[in-house]
Amino acid sequence: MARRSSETLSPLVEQDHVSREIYTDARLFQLEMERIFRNTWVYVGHESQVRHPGDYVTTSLGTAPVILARDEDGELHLLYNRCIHRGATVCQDRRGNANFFRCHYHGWTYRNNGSLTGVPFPRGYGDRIEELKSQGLERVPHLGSHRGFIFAHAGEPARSLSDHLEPADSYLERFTDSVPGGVQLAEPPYRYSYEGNWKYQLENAVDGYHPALVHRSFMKVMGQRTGSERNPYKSEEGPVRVKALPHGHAVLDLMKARTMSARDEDYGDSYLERARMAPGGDALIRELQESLGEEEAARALENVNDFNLAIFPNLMIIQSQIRVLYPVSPSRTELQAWATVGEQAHPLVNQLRLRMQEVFNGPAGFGSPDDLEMFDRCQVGLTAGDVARVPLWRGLDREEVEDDVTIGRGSDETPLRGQYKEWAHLMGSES
Amino acid sequence: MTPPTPATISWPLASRDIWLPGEHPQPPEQRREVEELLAIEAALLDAGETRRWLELLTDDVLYWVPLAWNATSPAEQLNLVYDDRQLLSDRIYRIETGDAYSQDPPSRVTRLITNIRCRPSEELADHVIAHSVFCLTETRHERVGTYTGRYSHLLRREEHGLRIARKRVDLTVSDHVLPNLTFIL
Repeated sequence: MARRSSETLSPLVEQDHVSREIYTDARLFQLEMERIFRNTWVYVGHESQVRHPGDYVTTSLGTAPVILARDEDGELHLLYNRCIHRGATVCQDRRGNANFFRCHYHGWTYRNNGSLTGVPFPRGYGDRIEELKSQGLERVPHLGSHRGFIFAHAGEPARSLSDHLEPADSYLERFTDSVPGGVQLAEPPYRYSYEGNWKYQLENAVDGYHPALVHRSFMKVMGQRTGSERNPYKSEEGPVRVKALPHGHAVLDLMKARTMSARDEDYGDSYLERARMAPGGDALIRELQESLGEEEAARALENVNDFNLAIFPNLMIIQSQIRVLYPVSPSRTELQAWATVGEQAHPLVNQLRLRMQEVFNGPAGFGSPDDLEMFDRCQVGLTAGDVARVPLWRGLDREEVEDDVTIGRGSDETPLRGQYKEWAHLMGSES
Repeated sequence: MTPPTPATISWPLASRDIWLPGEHPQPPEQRREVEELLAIEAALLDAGETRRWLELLTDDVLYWVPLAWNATSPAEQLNLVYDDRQLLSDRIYRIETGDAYSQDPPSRVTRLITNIRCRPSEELADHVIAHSVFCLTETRHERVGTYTGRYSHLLRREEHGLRIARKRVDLTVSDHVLPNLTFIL
């Protein structure tokens, strides 16, 4: 790649294409970590993971290890997992409850709000010990929570978190209110990886073009089970819509397809059928129907499953799942995917939500691994040849704009254009 | 025909089921039978003969690959795999369609099974619990993955010999960042 100035990049993204370098170039990856993952609101955790004082989870912000912790006063902190002395990590577990984090190298101890409480043999630091104590663990300055989703911003926010999420808020609300008592992340999550760029996953979450093709084998399994291979993606005239929302957020909207599930043989898609695939599924559903009534049982299993939402750059709500991407390098990405349950939902509804995740998702599921295989293949194939342009104009001439939302047919690349517009804006590579 | 395994019986967990010599006396031919079954199972899975592998399973089989380390029950946690016979058959059919790209090309797998310990089930008549450890190498696209872990089988004596009523696979890396696991462990 030609050397680029640190201030502006020549256009890598235009309305109808992106340059392949955005997936492959190591220096652009470093710039993404600075200009995107340290310079916009990035998802770092969910309230249900850090409900009580002392609760913490370790995660990463871009590629930096961080601790999300709730202190004794109930305040949340996002702390770099790095002792200010020699740099060793101060917290080793993925989650837990602790009032203190101790570096085991030289015994420096921090409270869960990041302040340094003690240093062994302190006289060696003389009067300057107070300097260290006022420093404490380095923290990410801006942390906010919206409808249970916790985001951090390591730079100077251009807008508040609620303004940032406002375009997607009706979807976040629909997700949060989809189960009694609100959603809770089921621990542990799936953790899996692919040998490809992080943006493939962000695109794929709102790509309605691939399901009928990449997931054909899953649809054949469903077809063999139910006697019908109906699915909402089988035609570009179908009921699925895609949306590009402001700030790079995007939606694959299945709402209309879901309401058709009971009656439309061509496009319907029933999650009751997916729940039925669970071991002992028939008996579990019968028991649920006896407990809640047939209609309410169907609604409890169906109503969370009618959209995929991608919050730029790293959070995806995929039906009832929360999926988060963690870039590692231009050609490696790690994912965590949490099943969600309802805090006050019927125990059988929660069990079946877990079973529905298992069938499709995770490293051994019937769906996700096929997506990841495609990301791996893209990363290998994209370097070949002289053509740098990757087309992005599917559906460009048939999308519609309503207020500040652009709406396309289910298989169109409208959401990807929205994502790359935000990418270019943050990267300083606008055309 | 032996009645199906009740759903309420506990799942064998190798790390919590360790006994000392002489505590579970059993006929020596039973151990040989268990060893042979595990070797045949491994041979079928390594050969990709998954339909014939189904013949080793009881009709009410449950196959479980926990996500959490030392998990005790599959019902209330997310699992890597939790299949009954129909889902296992779906899993095999999905690959057979030729459209399961995560198995195109298919995984090439070789596994070693050792440290076999078996005892009669205390909860169920005509059942044997067998714990073993495995080391498995898998390749696809010339990438090599090595997995170790523990198998715990609940075996039932049926008309034609021992059959697998439950199989749990505790991967050493179960809750770590994992690559493609779309082959049968």
